Amino acid sequence: MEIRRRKNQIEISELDPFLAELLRQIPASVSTDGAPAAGRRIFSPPANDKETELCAEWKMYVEPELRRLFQTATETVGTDLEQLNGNEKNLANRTLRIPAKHADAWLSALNQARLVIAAKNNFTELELNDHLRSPIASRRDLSLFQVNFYGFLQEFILRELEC
Amino acid sequence: MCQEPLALGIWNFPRFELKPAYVSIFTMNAQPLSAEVAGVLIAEIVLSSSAAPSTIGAPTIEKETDVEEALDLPWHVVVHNDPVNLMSYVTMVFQRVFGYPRDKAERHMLEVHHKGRSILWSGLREPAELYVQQLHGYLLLATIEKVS
Repeated sequence: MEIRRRKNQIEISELDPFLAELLRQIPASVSTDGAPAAGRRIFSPPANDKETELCAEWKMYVEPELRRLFQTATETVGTDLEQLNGNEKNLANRTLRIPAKHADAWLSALNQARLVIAAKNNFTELELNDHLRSPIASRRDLSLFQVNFYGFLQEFILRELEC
Repeated sequence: MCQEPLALGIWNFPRFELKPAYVSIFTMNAQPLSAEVAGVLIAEIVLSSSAAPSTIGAPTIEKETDVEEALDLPWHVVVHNDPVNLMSYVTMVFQRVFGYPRDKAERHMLEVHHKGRSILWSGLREPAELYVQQLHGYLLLATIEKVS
């Protein structure tokens, strides 16, 4: 896989089917359905329990706004990922081009996915910092790989935003 | 512009140096408020909360605002440690939300990382809530706290 900036796009080329599938999983990975811990992480309280009024108002007025914000970012990413659709049996490498103006949406969706996956798996800080874990031997390993892969993409996008 | 490609071999992927992750963030599709816009909004809130129905040009507004702030000052915007968010990401968020220069944003980021929390801003409650809302939009763990 190669990733580079080309004019107003971020181009991820030589994407093998496995990594392409991980990318396609981003929109599904942000879902907190059936995972209360993930929901609590994405929509964390704005204050401690003593501020009951503030927390209640937050839930009523701010959370829906945040939900729309996150959903819009995920939809933008989902649209970009349509480039990877096609013959599922095709093992050829793919190329994904992300418009630079979608960079913020990608940062958001990747972050949502990383947080949700980490919360669902209850990863420890030690695990999250263990970048040498290999090979992928379990579903949990795969999820950790997913978190690290998305983090790598985040780092690249951030670097591009700084340039 | 960074042109150099980054090669990723799937089986040696773990060699990527993902910096120790940690904290938490706002506003992605609707662009986050820039420091200038946030400053104007906060100034409006501060001025509108002033009790002074003074005439235009009255020189007492700033003083009365100070008094008002002094009465309602003790609210902190606190960002808490989070092992998932990337350090570089958190630094960027602090720069965007608070308009801090990079070195100051990094100092706060490191404080969160090492001490578990950092007070990013202190002041009136309404702007503090706005900041926390922005930080949540970036998925950072942020709270508003009244100083005891």
